[in-house]
Amino acid sequence: MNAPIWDAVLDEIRREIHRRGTQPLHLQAPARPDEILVDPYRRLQGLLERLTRAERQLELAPLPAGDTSWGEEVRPGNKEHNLRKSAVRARLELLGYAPGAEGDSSTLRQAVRQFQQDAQIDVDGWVGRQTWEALDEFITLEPPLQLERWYPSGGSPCPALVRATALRLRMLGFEATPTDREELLAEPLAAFRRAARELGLPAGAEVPERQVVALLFDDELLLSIAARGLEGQTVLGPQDLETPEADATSRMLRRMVRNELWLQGYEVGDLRVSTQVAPGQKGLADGLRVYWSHRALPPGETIERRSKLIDVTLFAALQQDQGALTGDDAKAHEHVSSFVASHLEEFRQAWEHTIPCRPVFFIWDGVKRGARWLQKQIAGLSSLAEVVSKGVEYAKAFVWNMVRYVFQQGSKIFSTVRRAVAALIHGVQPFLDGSIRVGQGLGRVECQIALNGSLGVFIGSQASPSAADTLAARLEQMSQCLSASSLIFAEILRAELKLLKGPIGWMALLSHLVKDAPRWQSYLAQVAELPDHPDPTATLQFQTEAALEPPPQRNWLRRLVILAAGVLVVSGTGLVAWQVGALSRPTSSAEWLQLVGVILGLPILGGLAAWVVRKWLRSRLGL
Amino acid sequence: MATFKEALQGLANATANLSSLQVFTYTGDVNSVLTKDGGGIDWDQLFTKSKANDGALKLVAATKVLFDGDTYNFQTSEKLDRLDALLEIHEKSVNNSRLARQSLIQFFMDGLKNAVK
Repeated sequence: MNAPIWDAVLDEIRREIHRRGTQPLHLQAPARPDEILVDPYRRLQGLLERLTRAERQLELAPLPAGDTSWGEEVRPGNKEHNLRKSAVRARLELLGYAPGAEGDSSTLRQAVRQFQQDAQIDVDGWVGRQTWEALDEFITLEPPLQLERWYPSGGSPCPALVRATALRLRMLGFEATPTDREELLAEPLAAFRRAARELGLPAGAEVPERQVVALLFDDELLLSIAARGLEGQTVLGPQDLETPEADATSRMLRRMVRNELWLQGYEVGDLRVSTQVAPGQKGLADGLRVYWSHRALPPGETIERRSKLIDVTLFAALQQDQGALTGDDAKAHEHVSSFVASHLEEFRQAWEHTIPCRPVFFIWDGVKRGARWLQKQIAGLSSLAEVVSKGVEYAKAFVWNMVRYVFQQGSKIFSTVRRAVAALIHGVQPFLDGSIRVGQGLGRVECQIALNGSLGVFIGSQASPSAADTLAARLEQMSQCLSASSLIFAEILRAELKLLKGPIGWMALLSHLVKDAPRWQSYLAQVAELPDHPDPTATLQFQTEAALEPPPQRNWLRRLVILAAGVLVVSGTGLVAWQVGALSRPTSSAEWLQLVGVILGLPILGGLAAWVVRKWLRSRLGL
Repeated sequence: MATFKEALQGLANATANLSSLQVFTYTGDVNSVLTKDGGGIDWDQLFTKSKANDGALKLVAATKVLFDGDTYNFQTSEKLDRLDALLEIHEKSVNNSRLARQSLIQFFMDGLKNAVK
């Protein structure tokens, strides 16, 4: 490889690190797990610790595991990574929320809650998959946007979409302040309609606002229609980046190009400022210079001229890039991962320099565009030396996209691992508790679980079918959690062991895992599809029913016996009274004592007799 | 996490003794099988009490799965209320128990086997 140019690439990145005041990473080789070959339990423990260390060292940012109901129960085991927190903070700020300063988690949590409320998703202040994907949709410039979800036909947009619309308008150069009030966007949206119409886009007053919002969020459609519209355009001539942004339409065109190049991984400077060339500052012209440096120039053109020109030729080229989709995704993925694996040391250097430099960028935008760009480049290149020979700026764009690609894949894999950890804990929990119990009283259903998997199941005589179903569902959940997680951990153990036999580190492990990324995707889907707890309302309903005393059944035989006993006592008392009367009135103390004894004693004896009879009948008749 | 580690250790140890898997399903009056303090079911006494035939407790079904895959089943011949539902939950319990067991073996045994290859 051409070492001086590669060093220049790294120097360039180092300078950017210096400008940003961040520190380079220093990856350490992982400890070799020789001792854990013997004991699978220790091997698992070691694996989790090593993966956590790798995750930290590689600065990966997987989603927390607590994004399913069963994962919620193991939330203390989860953690939100700083890198992902930075990305969430940056995204919320762009949407106009106030997520607080770095380190202020409570304000961040509050902003997340506000966003969740505005997006009309589950409000828990926790950035799980649902919230992350919602942020992705609102922030990323790449389609698709689930318009029906955020802006139902015949309805109004959710507040979060209004904020995202404002952001999108700003990205295209329109004056739109961050707001969640739809009416405040009327003016910039009208300006967008005018500019879009001038470019031949379907955005006139007759087009419903919902459709205009859809167009605004479809960056690819916007670009392709504008490219076609420009072909026959006479009003809008070529624009020179040396000149100021004249009007809303030319500003929008320029910014569309800048957004597109940015998505592809080129350096285009600050996205918030004008696209006009400013001496001493990176800008759109720098991005275009690199862009044209590896493309076939139109006849008679120079890179210098093209780097300052926005015209139909440029739009046609960008549209051509969009159309140049690689046919076989799996094959393209294999090319990228093989390329990374065959340049591990250089890749490690690039990672160490790049990751701390642009943490937010890597988990942000241009994922699909960057990957597509990278796959296209790798198809025409045989080595990294060839990459760097095309120039420092081109190599930088290549490195950004390569690291970003691996970062995305690696984060997904580590998300799988995190979920597998949560699933394993959830699967092991019933063994730890020793039993699963549903309901109480006569409706109780309970299952005892031995460590070797043997079960004792008890179903109360008045257990409802829903209680039994709940128990069955929990057992199923337990076994499926164990099944999925054990499969994943066994796979990781195999991969890790194979790799750690040689003198290679986390980079090798990461690149190996990335190579198998499609398989990990299927694992992720499998873990994500694990059944959640049974419907809590059903359980609650059952528990409520069980907590109440069951309605008394009308047991006529029992009533008859009690009535008979009562009649016996009353008759006995009457008999005594009659007998006492027959004895005439007592005159002496002894007769008075006899009378009191008879009056009090006989009913007691009668009650005692009735109780004995009742007990006897109960035991014989099952009352 | 200490308790989770203990559980894992327990499971790891238990996988070494997987001679058979047993599932028993009972039904009846819960009061007759509660522990003295009334807090939980006295599982140790359950089998004995169900054989006492005092009517309060019934053994619905029992399954024993041997390590080689052979399975022995018992099913009550009494005409119990909701017998079909009880047998269904027994069957589900057996299946889930087998899957959980297989997963543990897969992890603690197969994982190790592959690791030392």
